[in-house]
Amino acid sequence: MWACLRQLGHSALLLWTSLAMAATAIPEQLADYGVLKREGNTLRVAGNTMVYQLAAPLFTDYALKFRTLTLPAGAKVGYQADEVWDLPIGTVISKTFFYARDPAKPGGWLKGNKLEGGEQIDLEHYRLVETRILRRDVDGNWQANTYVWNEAQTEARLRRIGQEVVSTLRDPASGKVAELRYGVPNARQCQTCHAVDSTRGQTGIQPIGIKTRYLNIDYLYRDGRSNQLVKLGRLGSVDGLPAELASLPTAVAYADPKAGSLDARARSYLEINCMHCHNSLGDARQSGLLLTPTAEGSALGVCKQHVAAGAGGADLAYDIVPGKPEQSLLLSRLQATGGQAIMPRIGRSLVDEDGIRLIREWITAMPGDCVVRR
Amino acid sequence: MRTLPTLLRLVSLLVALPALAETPSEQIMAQFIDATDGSVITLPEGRFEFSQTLSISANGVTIKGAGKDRTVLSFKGQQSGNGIDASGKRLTFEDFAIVDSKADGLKVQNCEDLVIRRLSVDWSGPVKASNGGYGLYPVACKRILLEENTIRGASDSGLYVGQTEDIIVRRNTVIENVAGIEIENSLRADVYDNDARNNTGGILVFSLPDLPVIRNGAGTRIFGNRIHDNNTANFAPKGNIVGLVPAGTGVMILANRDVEIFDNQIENHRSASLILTSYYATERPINDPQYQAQARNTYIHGNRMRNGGYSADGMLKDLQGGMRLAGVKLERIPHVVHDGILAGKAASISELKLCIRDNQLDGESMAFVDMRLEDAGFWKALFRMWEPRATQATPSEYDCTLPPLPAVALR
Repeated sequence: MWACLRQLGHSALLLWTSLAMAATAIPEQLADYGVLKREGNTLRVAGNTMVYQLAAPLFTDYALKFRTLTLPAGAKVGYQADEVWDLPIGTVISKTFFYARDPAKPGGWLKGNKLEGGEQIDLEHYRLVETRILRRDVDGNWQANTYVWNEAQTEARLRRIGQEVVSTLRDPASGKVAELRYGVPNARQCQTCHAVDSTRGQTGIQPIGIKTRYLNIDYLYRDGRSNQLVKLGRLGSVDGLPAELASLPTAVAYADPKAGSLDARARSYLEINCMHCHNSLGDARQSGLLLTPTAEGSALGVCKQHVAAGAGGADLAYDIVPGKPEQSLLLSRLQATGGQAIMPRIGRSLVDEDGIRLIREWITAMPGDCVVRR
Repeated sequence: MRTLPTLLRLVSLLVALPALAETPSEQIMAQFIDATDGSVITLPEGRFEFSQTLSISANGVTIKGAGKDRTVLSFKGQQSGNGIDASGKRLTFEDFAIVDSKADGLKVQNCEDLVIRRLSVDWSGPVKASNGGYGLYPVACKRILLEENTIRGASDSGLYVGQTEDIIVRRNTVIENVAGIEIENSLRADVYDNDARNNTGGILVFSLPDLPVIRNGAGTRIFGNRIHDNNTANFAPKGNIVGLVPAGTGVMILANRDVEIFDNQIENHRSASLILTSYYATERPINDPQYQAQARNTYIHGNRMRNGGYSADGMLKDLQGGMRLAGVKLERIPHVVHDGILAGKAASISELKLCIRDNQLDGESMAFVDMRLEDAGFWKALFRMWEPRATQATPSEYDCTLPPLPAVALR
């Protein structure tokens, strides 16, 4: 049945490609992409596909993530030092969001229980929620869509309008149980973070993670530990990849206190979690708050009067008050779990406790104040 | 046996690309998401519940309901987010209601040629700080028309235009918001024939620092509006800039340039009919070197101001007490208030070109007070080194005229 559906998907895809060269139809089923397949009680990769992780990942309500990159056979990839790599037409990037099942509570999930490497997911112990797909279409544009897994975990179906998935999340360490309202983004919300230039409307989105600094780490593959860039070099041919990987940058793994200075870790956290809207061409550009790696002073929020926080204003005037995390709206909004205050607006309903700790320490250590001296 | 499912599957791929929607609310969500250039989305009569934001990003789309009392989009079940998020060119929203969004009612950004007409945005129950910030919120747009909308209960501004060029806001009714209408860091706005009542402040024109799309607001005409009874206690979070607006403010101009305020009826405001102020008065830091903090080139004429300043609130109440200490006893705050701050940026008040002429004022309050806030302070008041000046007539340095501003033309 499974294989049959997949085959049908392929034929439909081919039909569409021949009918409309401008843009390929969006498959109704995840299986139609041929990058992930269910075998028995296991989700495996298929096709010319590699699994990878990011040196500094986005926080998404403690969801575990399984990322794959699939290149067309014989594809050429263009290396970029800082920007997103140039990936060929037909590239499919998938990101599956999943949780460990809570053995103590049917239907409930666990916080944590991250996989250590690997190229498959054991569905007996893990529950798949959604798989987001970025596909580079025949017209060169990227398509972003998400597929929501059914309860039986047999299929993931296209969901353009978003969805709220409600469950519980138990922290095995503390025993605390949180109500989880996991938000599957709608198709426009995909554009919000993936936009190249949000001022130009819906045109032009791009992947986020396929950058040298995010990929330049090891991953534990079936055949052993390997640098992900090396792995990518075997998946396709990479134009211009420097031989000396050690000389290439790696994003600071913000969760690891040994990975870098407090400032470097905090900035890395803000970059992956906030910058995709908070940059000068991003969805939040009009706020004037730029959480890019190079922003300084009021652009970074230091003593910056916030402008359109609305009900999220929390009686605080400035985004960051140096040395005073509790007076800093930035922290307040990361701590919020709803209403107008919550930031980021997409992909979070719970507090990232470790992230909050990092940002609090960062603001505490920041010198200066916001006093106006006359 | 396989043929039929195969056929069905192909047909579903070819025809039913908009996701298989189930409930009427999901159908509406799908129509928004899948709208393509030129689509018309007709919202049926009825009440529709949403737990997520409705998003649209397309050009030339019209979204039309059966009337603002007939088509109601309710976001009561939301955990977070705006009611509607939109971007694109030539979008039109007409004839429906948005209620109880957790954040803003309708936010439209990076748009061109936007029309919002006969919408209602409301938060049910008594007004409260947890209501969404903005009812209608176009930002970073060009050429927008907002007319005949009704907005009630926004915890920041009912109708809030930010960093936008060429704006017409007319015949709207804004009730019980913190700011009724706010034009912020925008260029060329005509605000007329609106009814702003029972807000904290009726109509505000602000220019704030550190905003990247438009650094300094300029060119707003406010005319023919009924601005009255804006005495609702300020329920905005205190850190918000509108959190500084005293309850009972008719019109407030903050740091904007080229403003013309004429032929308005401004009545029954406990703090003041009209406040002109610089950003310096906020006592918040300015780090933006391109930012101009003073209100300049403002012409106030032909307005009728009645029953103002009878029980000042917030910062004005504090200043009223301070002025008493400085020997200026005011039973009522005068109709027009200026902070009088020069900050070394202007040699004299005349240079700011704040012109007030031919207004029709009741005799209950004095016409004008120049607060001279730069000198304000307890000790300075005590030793009469702070000399605020309240007058029955407009002082000579404010008695001037400016050429009329051109009307806004939308293409």
